[in-house]
Amino acid sequence: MTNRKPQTLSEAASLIDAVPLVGEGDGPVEGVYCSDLLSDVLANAPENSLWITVQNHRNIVAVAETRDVTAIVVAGGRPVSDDTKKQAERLEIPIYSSPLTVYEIAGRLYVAGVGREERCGPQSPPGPQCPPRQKIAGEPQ
Amino acid sequence: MRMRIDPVTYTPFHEALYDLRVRDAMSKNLIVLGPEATMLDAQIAMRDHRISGIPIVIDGDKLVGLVSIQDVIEALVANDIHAPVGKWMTEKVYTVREKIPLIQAVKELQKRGFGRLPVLNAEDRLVGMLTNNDVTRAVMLRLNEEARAAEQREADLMARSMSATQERPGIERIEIRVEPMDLDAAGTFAGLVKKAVKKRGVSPDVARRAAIAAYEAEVNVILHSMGGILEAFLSDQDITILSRDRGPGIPNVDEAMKEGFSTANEVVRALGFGAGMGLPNMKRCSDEFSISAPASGTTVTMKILFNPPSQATHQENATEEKT
Ligand SMILES: Nc1ncnc2c1ncn2[C@@H]1O[C@H](COP(=O)(O)OP(=O)(O)OP(=O)(O)O)[C@@H](O)[C@H]1O
Ligand SMILES: [Mg+2]
Repeated sequence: MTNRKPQTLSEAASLIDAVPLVGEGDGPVEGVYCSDLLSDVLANAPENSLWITVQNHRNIVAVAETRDVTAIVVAGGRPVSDDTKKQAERLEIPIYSSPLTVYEIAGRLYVAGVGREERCGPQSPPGPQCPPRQKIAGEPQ
Repeated sequence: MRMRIDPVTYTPFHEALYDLRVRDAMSKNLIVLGPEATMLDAQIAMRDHRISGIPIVIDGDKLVGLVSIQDVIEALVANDIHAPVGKWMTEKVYTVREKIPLIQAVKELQKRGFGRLPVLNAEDRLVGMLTNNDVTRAVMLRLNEEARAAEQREADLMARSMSATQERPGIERIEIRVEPMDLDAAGTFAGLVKKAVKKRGVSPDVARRAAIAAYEAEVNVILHSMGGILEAFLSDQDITILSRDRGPGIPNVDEAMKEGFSTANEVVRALGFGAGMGLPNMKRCSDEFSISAPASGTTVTMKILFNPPSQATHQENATEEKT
């Protein structure tokens, strides 16, 4: 695993041990949103983001499509029904599955710098928002 | 897998039973005999009118007893068919009052295993007879009436949308009908809206706002209403999304508009609905928003401009607005 900040779906996926269930690809990943409330995702998911959730039913596909997220990551290895997969294929929404918890997924992506360039650019002074990278415990190597 | 959750309280059959009163269901064409008539008269009357019991009255409508088929058989067996009915009739007769709810009478019929119950008015006068058949017929009629009323509401709803289209020629129109609790269909309307606005070359932000507004409206009709119609009208400058349903409306719209307010049940909450953010999302995503929600049905109208004068008021700045 490299220390480089992941920029694409496949790079981000490998960082969080996620495997593709539907679709794949090099869609842009510029942000992450973790939520299991559908309207919350519609309101707040950033552009070109990964949506991390434990919801695994078919309605997540329409939400992802409506909000334009790059992909859905179903956390905790929760099963995804064929029905949901079919819907995702139809709407061309990639779905990934990760065995990690939402917390671990978010932690890894956060530490890797996904979705915090404005706050944590190369020039930002270290602080609670932008911890110096080398001091983060548990950071994947 | 179909995901359809039955609304919890909607049992029209039982509602009809509770709504109706005994007098709405009883038959009023009474076949009665006086106490001086013979058991043979009773037997003939029962055969001719295909009934299984005859009330015995004095003074025209004062109930003194009931002769059932059982009584006739007993008289026959005793070779006493020419005796007056007063001798064989059941004197202790269970009756019901005409004003009690039908459901109570039904329970009485079931509990006692009777085929029929004489119905009395407040002056203790016999005004009708109630049988299981009468009950079934009355409930069916009521359900029929309700179905017709529902069809009428449906026709009204359709007429309203037709007039809306006809008044606006040259406008692209999308329409989807939504059934209550049909979660599988959620997103169909939003998908069509998104496709239609994208075709007009709007910015991704405008397309997204239109889709979100459409999706939230669609889901609310599915989750919270008895079904309805979602429409979108696209002109060269804007899209108007119109959501209309068959009720039950929203008792307190101000409260419903607050972020976090939701009456969604546990089942749909587990699926991630019910954050209470749908209506606020709709409002934030649209350039014009209005809602009215009487019991006859909720109407939400949202307009989204294809070229908004300033992006500053919308979605992407939502977090700033909140602070
Ligand atoms: N079409 C409707 N008919 C009847 N009630 C409605 C309708 N739309 C909304 N409501 C009422 O307003 C409440 C708030 O709606 P809103 O969309 O903001 O949140 P929600 O649907 O409960 O949850 P969310 O949209 O976040 O999944 C609903 O819980 C419901 O009580
Ligand atoms: Mg809602």
